[in-house]
This record gives sequence, C-alpha cells and structure tokens, in this order.
Amino acid sequence: MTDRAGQRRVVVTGLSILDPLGGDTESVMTRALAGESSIRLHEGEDEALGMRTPAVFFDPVDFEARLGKAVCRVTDPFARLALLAAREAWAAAGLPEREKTSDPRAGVHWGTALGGINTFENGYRAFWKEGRRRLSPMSVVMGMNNAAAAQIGMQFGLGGQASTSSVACASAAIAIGEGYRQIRDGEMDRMVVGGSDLPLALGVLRAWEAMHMLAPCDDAGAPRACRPFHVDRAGLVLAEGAACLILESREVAERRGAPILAEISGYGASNDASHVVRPDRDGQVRAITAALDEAGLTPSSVGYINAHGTATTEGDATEVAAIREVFGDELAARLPISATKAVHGHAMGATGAIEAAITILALDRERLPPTAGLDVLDPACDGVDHIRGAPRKATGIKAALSNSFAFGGSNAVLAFTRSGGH
Amino acid sequence: MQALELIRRGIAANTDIDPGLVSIDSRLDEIGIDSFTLLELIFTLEEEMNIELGDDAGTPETVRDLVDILEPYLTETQGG
Repeated sequence: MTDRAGQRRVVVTGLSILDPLGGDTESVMTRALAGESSIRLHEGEDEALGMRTPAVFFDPVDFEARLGKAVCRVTDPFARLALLAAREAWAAAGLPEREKTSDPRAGVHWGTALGGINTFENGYRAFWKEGRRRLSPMSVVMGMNNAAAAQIGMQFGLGGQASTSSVACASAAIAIGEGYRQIRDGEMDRMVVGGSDLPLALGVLRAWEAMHMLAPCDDAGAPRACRPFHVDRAGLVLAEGAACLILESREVAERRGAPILAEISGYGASNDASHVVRPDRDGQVRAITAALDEAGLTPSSVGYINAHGTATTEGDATEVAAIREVFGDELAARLPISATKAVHGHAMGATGAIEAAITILALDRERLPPTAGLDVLDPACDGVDHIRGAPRKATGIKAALSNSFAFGGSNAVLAFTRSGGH
Repeated sequence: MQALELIRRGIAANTDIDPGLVSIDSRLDEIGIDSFTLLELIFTLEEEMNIELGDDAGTPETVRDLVDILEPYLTETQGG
C-alpha cells in the first residue's frame, strides 16, 4: 500500500503516555482535556543547593515490582520509564510478547535530551559528597544515552535497528519522524518510537535556573505556573516524562487487524542555523511547510496544532508568528491551537512524544485540549484560535500538527491524519 | 557458612534469582549469573565486605569458587 512516489503509508497502532500522578494514558488525556495540571511544587533534597520549583515528577514508582531487579540493576530511571511506556504502547497495539527470534524488520528510535544524567550525577555525588572511591561496574550501561533504545530492543526482539536522537526539546519528535521515515522508505515494517527524560537532576535544574528560564515558584500557584501565550507567562516548568508510539506500515497493520489510531502523513525538519537559543520564525516556517507538503495537506485541511508553547516570552510569540506566516492571517485566525505543556510541563526529550500522543488522541476522538489557565492572552500571541477553558469539539477534523522547536535551532513538525481520511 | 550467606544476599539484591535455589555446588551460569551479572555481584560483595579483590576475583564458575575467593578475607576480618 503506497502513496506518492511509491512511498509506504505509516500508521500509529498503539500509544502510551506515562502518568506521573500514578494513573495511565487515559488519565493523562482526561486531565489534558479538562485543563487539569500535573504540576506540583518540587523541593530538592540537597539542603544547601536544592531549590523549590514548580515541576512535574513521578511519585515513587516501584520499578523493581514492575520490571524486576535484574533490569533495574542495569538501568537508569530514564530507561526504566522508557520500558514501561514501550510495554504499555506495545500491548495497546495488540502485539504479542517477543518471539524467540528477533525481527529484522522492526526497530526502535528513542528520544532523550539528558539520557542517563541521573546515573552520572549520582556518581559525582558518591565521589565528592560521600567520599566513595569506586562506582558500580554497571554505571556505563546505565548512563549511556542509547540505554533506553537498547532495553526496548531487547524487550521486544527488535532486530532491525536501535537508534537514539538527542536533540534537546525536539528529541522525541525527531525520533518519531525518523522512525516514520524508515517505514515510509521500506527499510522497516514496525518501529517503537518515543522519548523519556528526568530533568530534575540538581545540575540540570540549576542550569535552567541560571538561564532565568524557569517559571517562578509559588506554593499555591504551582499547578498554574506554566502559562503558554498568557500575558503574564514567566517561563517553562521542567517535567519528568515518557511516551511511546508504535508505528507500522499500513499494510502490515491492516494485515494483522491492528487498531489504527491515526496516520503519520508528514514530518518536517529544519534548522534555524542562526542562534543557539533565540527561536527563528523562518526556521519554524520551513519545518511546518515541509510537514504539510509531505503530508499533501493544504493549510485549510489542518484542524488543530499542538503548539510547542513552552511559556517563554519570545518562544510563544515567535511560534504564533510562524503559524500566521504559513497559514495566512485569515486561516490562522480560525485555526485551533493549544499548548498542553500548561498541564504536563516540559519533559525535554520526551515532550515531543507526549504531545504527539495527545494530538493523535485529540484527532481520533475529535476533542481538542485547551491551553489551561489562558485567561488573559498576550496580544503578541494573538492571531490564531486559542482553545481556552473547555475542550473543543472538532467534528469532522481531518488532520493535526504537533510542533517541537529545540534549543540549538532544530525544529520538527509531525503531521497526523485521521485514520479513515487522507 | 558466612561466605555462602553473603553470596545469597548479593544474588537476592542484584537479580531475580531465588536465593533459596543457590547451593554451594551451583554452577553460576546454570543459575542465571552470566559474566556481566557476576561483575555486579562481586562489586556488591566487595562493598559489603569493604574489600577490593582486584585480580584475586579470577573467573569463578561455581558458587564454591566464589566462596573460596571470599573466605580468606572473612578470616582476615575475623582474625583482625
């Protein structure tokens, strides 16, 4: 089953978003639609250096009970979250547990910005704070940034490829896009894609603080600390997170009677090549345009954009400007947009997968999540149809985009089409 | 036997193997301890006993080999 130029069509047959509050994918989506925040006040453990900050973090997860000691002894938490997310998505796709032999037509492409940072930070702490002189011999395999992909590959017998993309905030979106391309181009039939990150390591948290990029701490206001497009927005909220998609060629999925949630119809990547942190409207325009062109979508057929929307002053305004440039002011004014980071925070290398999964579920259910807490819009972010308050019904929606724009200038836009459509 | 108990505890801490199935005659590979897991097990035992085996660890193939490696250090500790 092929598309333009003989390229194969790629569908999403399963997905998962891990719920930091102890629920499941469904509870994450329910809260996203209701605009209910997962952000809480995070208090660092270190007395001298710890800081209070709004954040999204997992209540202690009993990894040993869920993954076994043998896996836990050789994995950093970012790989454990990855495994839990992949297991849930794999089961949702109706796939059987691994066969004895590995499948050379199946692979994994994982996204992570920080990888095993917590393992290495624990190592420094052991040396310099606890006065220890040796590290566990497992430290290398725990800390390496491809550990999540390796573990997922072993779990499901993915013998084709195990790759990792580390592209800051666009890591997972690029992992999804690259996995999609491999199926589209006929190299693979099935790809496990997504991302995981735990950015609350002390050194990471303090680094973001030093850039003055974090939303300020406010005990009562922590759940509303992340305010994309709001006139009073004051920065991003770091989040732990993981999400996973199972991608398959449409032919393979249909042959096995798999559930089809959506089709990935396009992926556009670009690089600003201008400034290491300042977002560039033209770079974003190139990525959005490339995704639309590849999907064969006209601007008028897009019914929703899940914005990158981190709640920084410059980032949000630049993204709206890019959307207006691509869609034109008339269409843009009627284009529903929301930034769900207001409720799930910024999970760095995982965020693109969380937002892609929310976008797919929104498309599938014809219900679009709002930007929570957007009571006073910044005029600099005007010109699009911001979804505020209640979720928006979107009967007959055909396609949606998920934007990811990273520090460093890397941009990635994913286009999803309703499974029956196109 | 103190060394065997330490090994059982180390196995319980690092693996999903039932320590009740670990006997003095068990072959490490047969109970599911490959060379990689052995590396971690030895590290755990070293930490527990506050020793560094270095090359003395050799390449034990059975639980008995491991007991033989550890026992001199236990005697030293007890004697010291």
